[in-house]
Amino acid sequence: MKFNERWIRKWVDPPIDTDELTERLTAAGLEVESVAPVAGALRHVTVAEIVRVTPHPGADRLSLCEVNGGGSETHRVVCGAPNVRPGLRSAFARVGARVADGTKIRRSRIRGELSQGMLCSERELGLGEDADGIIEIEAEVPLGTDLVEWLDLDDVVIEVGLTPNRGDCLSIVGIAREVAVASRLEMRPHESLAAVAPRIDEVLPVALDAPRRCPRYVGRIVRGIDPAVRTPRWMAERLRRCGVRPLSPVVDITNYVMLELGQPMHAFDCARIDSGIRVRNGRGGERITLLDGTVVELDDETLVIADESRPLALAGVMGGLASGVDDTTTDVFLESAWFDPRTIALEARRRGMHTDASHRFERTVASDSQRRAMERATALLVDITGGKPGPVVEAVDEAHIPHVEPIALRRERIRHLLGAEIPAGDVADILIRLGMRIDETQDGWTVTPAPHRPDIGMEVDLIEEVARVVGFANLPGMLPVADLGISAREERNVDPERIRARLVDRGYHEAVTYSFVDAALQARIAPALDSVALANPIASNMGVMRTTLWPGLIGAALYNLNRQQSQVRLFETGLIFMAEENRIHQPKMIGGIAIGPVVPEQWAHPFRMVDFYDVKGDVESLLAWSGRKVGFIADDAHPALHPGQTASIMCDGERIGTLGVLHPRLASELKIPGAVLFELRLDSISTGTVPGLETLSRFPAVRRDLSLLVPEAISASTVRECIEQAGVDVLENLEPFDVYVGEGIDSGMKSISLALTFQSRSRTLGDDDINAALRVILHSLTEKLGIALRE
Amino acid sequence: MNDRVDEMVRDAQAAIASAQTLDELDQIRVRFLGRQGRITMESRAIGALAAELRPPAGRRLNDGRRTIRDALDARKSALSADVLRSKLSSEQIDVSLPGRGQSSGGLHPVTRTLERISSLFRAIGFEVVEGPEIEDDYHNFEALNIPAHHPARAMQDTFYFPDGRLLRTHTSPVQIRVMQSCPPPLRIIAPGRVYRCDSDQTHTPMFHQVEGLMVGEGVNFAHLKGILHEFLRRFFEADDLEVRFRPSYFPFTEPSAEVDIRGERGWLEVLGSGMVHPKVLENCGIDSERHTGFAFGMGVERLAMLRYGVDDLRSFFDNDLRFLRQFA
Repeated sequence: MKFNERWIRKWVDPPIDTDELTERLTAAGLEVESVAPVAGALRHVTVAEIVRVTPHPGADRLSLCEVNGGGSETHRVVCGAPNVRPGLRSAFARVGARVADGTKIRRSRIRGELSQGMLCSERELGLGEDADGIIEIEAEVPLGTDLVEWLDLDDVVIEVGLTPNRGDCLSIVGIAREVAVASRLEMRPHESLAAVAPRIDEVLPVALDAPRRCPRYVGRIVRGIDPAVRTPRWMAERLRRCGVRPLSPVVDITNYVMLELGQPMHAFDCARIDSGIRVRNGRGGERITLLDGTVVELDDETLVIADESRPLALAGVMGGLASGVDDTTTDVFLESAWFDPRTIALEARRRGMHTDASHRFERTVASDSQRRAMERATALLVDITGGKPGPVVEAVDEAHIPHVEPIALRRERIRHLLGAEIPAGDVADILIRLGMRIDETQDGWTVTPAPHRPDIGMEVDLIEEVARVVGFANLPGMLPVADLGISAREERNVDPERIRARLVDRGYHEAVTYSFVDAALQARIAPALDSVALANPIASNMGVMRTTLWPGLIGAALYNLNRQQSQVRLFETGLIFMAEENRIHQPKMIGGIAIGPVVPEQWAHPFRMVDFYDVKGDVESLLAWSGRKVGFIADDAHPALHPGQTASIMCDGERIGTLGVLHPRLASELKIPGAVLFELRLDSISTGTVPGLETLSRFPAVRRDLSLLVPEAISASTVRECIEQAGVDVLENLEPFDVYVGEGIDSGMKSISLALTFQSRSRTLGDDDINAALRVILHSLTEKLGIALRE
Repeated sequence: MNDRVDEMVRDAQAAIASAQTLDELDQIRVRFLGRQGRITMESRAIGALAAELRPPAGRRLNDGRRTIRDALDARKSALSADVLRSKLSSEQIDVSLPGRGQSSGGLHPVTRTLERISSLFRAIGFEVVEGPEIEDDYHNFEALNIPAHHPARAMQDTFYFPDGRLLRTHTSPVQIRVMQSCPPPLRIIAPGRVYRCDSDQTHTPMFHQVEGLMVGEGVNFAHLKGILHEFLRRFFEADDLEVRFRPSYFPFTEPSAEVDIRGERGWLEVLGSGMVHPKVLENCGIDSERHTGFAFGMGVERLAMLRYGVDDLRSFFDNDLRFLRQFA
């Protein structure tokens, strides 16, 4: 809501400056978003009269004007406006003056002729967009009058951001009421809200066919207005300052009343209404052309204002073109109604039409303001355009008018909720100032909310009002006292902080990428998963929810590769989303990508690109917490990964993630060479174990190395399992320390060298024990896997 | 004989003094003290002396031997020290060269901020809980006292799915899930991603919030003010931080307050908060006469921007390593 300070001060004028006024508004919950001077930089522009006009000798479109600014001498001004004529009073910016945009006026020569100032249009004065001619000022205004003074330009436009519950403040009277309450002042009794006596008998009958949606409709005919009259400047200025463009007197008056009292109004051209008014639901097949030219098809969702033959307007949203007023209208029918907020909200949203009227109706207009607004509009209309008003017609269905229920307010509850003692007298005073009716009871008050505050329906709403007016700054703040219970903390749980820290320590930077990704890219990476598409994505490449963290990580990696970053290591934690029958599965994942040199380029490291095993080491460091049996199984079927360099990560027989090198085909298409990717379910590593100590052996350990000739198809983990299952209980540890393929080894074979550690808990092992153990192991390897010792 | 011993000692001393290596020194030892050495040969000659002359000659010879041995030892340790010194000097390295290994990465500033917020609230007994990001209308709106036609829905541009589900527009639905499953007293914070269908200079379609909730008997507005003021001072590490509570409106709290802090260019909004609306408590099966509570929500990116001097919201989601490294 935008309004000018001067207008507010006509209603209530506290002895404070603009800064304090805006602070008071903000403190009352009407957040001031901006304060802008009305006049811009306008200085020393005065009312002057054109005394004589002669053609410019060097230019057809220019005139030489002699201007009398009220002083002893006249000024010579070159002017291009078409409406210059002797005797016209206009705005004169003399040498040294400033126009609204800050331009300083200087003596100049225009096409060879001296110009000692400028005659101004509305645009130069900052009053509007009209730059076609100079402004025309009434002859009564004395010469030399400063424009700032004459137009009350020493004023500011204040814009407040209103929360949706405060529809009552979408009006000057509403804002003024808040200022009055905050300043503990009374509002001034206002001019001409009194009834205007009818001067003709004519009425249009009004029928409420949809009384739930429109329970009150006030109408009135005014005949014989003068269509040639222009909107008075004071009104046009107020409208302009409140952000409403002045159009024509009738429309301006309805807008003015809406701004002033918060009641939207509409004016029909009486001559274009066929007999009576019917407020009814739309009918299928009907259509109407609105004031802005759009044609809408009607159905019974839409509430319309109709006459006996056709719909005239979309109720509460916009009028129809055919029944609207124009510059030939002499007889008008004014409308001031109360519409059901929900009906208007749905209609406005459905049609995508957000108007000043719908904005107010959606937020609930006071149910008692219709007649008041009608009288105010009539008075203004008769005053400005002339005409004879008919009697007010009011159709009403009391059963559907919102009923205001009294609310019990307990003194104790105020203290309980606010943690503050507010004197009872202050509470009562605040509520009365807010327009509530109060009756004292034993433990507090019975409060009947004001009709303009439909947002107040519960005790807690009243407590908020009290708190708001007292001022949040004046309420106490204190730290709560709570029981010092220690919350459960399972030792085996691994905090996500710790998991992230581990990857950070291993050289990864954390990325945060959008949860919605490009459907096509995701389909390349995870075609088997059913993704969930948004109904209203913000961009086409953000259309589906991610089923894996990889599209986002690949995008982030590319972003960096394109910015000369050669080593990229990124990880992310977050939810992925998968459609599963009727539900959406949203597990939390941790994933990463590594590209480029294994370590940042450095003097002491031979240059090497990151590979599968580097990232496997990172993954293993995460899995180390789980305390469960984890395995890596070759996976040659992942569509996005290298068929020979990909593993499914298994935990207790369950697949918990994937690790692999990006498929070379995808890598070259995406221009992201050599990327290694991993992704794990976070819950699989966020639960560890509580340690339980095994006693240490007091006897020495013995190491023996074995070099084995292994068929290439047999994996290291198969070899390990075979040895572990051979039944040698003194085998303490087993670690491959060399893998070799090449000269000296037959093709189809590889050499794996193992370090075996033997140790007993009960005795020192001798050579015989070790040799016996080795025989058992070798026998098992040969028997089960055809593996021999390398000679 | 004495003269010969003296001469031998003199010869030995001269040789030892001029020896330059441990090898040379060893040869000298052999030449004088070895099996065929001059001192050894001389000692054999003692047997030929008259009995009364043998003891003094023996003593004399032993003295000479000791003198030579001492000289050898002394020279040996001097030469060893030289050898070590030259070895050490040959092993000198440039300690200014960088160390070997992986450089460490860093947390995203949003996570860093989230962790900081969480740790501050954990310190006073708030539990961290999380909730789903694809939500239903009930948890995101209805249960929070935002019915279908409510104008407050227009405050939040919602991403929808064809089946009517939606991406949560705030972390507040976590309040509902917690209150429905756990009885008061409750102290929780719920960090996470939220989504609004809005993208420009100052809005990204995804951002992060931390929701907070404290429900119990006697929890009041003064507590809300106290905790949030304390939190902001601790978060920004500024005891003199100016904090302003200003009336606002959220359908799920009453009274509602926006919280601003004083920045260099005026007041900055950092938090939304309020006393949990009785209807919300009742929706969760909590007796609103007996229990009261406060809730708050803060935009994590906004706090991170203020804390770390980030001026473009969108830079959080570019994941530019040059940006991320600054938070390592």
